[in-house]
Amino acid sequence: MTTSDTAGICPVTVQPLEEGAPPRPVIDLDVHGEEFCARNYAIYDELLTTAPLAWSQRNGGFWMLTGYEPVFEATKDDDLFISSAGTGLPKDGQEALAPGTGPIPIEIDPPETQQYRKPVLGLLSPKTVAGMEPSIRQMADEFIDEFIESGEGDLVQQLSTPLPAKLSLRLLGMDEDRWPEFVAWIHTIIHGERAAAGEAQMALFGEVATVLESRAAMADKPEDVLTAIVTCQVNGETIGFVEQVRYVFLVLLGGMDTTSGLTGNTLERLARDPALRQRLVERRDLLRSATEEFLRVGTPTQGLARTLSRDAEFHGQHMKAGERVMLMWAAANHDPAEFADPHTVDLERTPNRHMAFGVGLHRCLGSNLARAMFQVMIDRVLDRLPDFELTVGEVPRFHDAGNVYAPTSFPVRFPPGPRVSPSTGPAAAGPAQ
Amino acid sequence: MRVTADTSQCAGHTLCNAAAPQVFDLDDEGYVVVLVEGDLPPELEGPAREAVAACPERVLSVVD
Repeated sequence: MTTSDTAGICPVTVQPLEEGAPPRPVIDLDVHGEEFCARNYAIYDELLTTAPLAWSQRNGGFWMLTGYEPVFEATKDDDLFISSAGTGLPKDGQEALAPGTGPIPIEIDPPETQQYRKPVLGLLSPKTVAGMEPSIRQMADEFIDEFIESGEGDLVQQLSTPLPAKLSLRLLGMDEDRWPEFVAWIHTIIHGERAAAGEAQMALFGEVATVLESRAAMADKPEDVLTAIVTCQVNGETIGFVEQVRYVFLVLLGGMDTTSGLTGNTLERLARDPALRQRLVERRDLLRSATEEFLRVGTPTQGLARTLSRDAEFHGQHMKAGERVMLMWAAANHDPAEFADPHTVDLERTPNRHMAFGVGLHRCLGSNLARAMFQVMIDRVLDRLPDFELTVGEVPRFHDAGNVYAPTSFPVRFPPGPRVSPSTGPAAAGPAQ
Repeated sequence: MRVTADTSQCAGHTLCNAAAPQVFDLDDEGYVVVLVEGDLPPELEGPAREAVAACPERVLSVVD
């Protein structure tokens, strides 16, 4: 019943899903697969031309939205495209995560979304984050100190992974020195096999529960994100304990690999484009606008899913209630209809209405902090090891780009430099030379 | 020329503030506050247009 075909790396066949149903552009795309991780941007480019809205039977079946306008409109329409049924797509052959265990408020629909977000907004606002900048800078310098004298290091494992993890734990009033354990749990939950992921989630939720209980029992609570979550009111009532755990889970999930992914993706561009790196070394005043461009071209959360709340015709496609939709922001960020020369990195691109943080009600709650952490890490690297050389041909990445598009490692060598802070203990001392 | 904002639809991207801080401020939660309600002085018109174009939510407008 094929009516038209395209060739290429992601062929499109227009066909009805069942006898008598309206035809739809059908593709065979697994967003959790290795093919997608290796060729995601080539796939986006092709689909932007052939089928900016296409149906894939993989991952439980989903509409793949790549065009800027459809992605924008769908993301803004929280009534038709709901979040409470889950924002991730299942792996082939698996069920989606059990409802009621995912992170919130990302999986809460309006009007409650705003009530959940309200108490945290001020704690992650541009003004608050500006006040945190010196401590972020100090943290970055301390992490760089641990390898700067040796002339080699791993900028993902020793800087962009630990810094956001440690800072997220600090925001939550948790033991920030335990960041390696939390990173391991989060990585297993996101990238591990289902059984291991379940165990890691249980372990993490157990830790979080303990911290929440002790905070709830505290008479004078410090003004921080954990207190905001423990005291969060929705519809006039304090949110339940499970909701509190899921909220902390979101802060940990959102805070860690995304910022590291943006930083790693950007370091790779700087490593492969000496002129681009030199421009940023010389013109650090461009870092603010450059951040938006790196968010556009190196979007770590490539997309998130929604679910149709009812049958609807959307951009010419007949969508059915209950069908999942992937809002592929990383693809939309390369749509030539919105961005001239989308593959050119223009550090001063104006305007730059990228959707790396999403748009609308669910837009990333930690975006101001993410930008600050990213800018500090890039600034410190360009100040302290501007001549870093990537020592591997291919940067290792998490295999599942459908979850996060991020390097797992970024080994470099560089002319050794001096520490800037005194050694703080055995962990930072390193071997004698 | 003046600018308007549908502040109820602001999602806190902060890009307007980056382009024209004298026209668009941010409140304590990071949402837009229009600083100049009336006609803009000529020197702010360029930055204001850039700020309006920068908004990913498309909730800022120029009124000529």
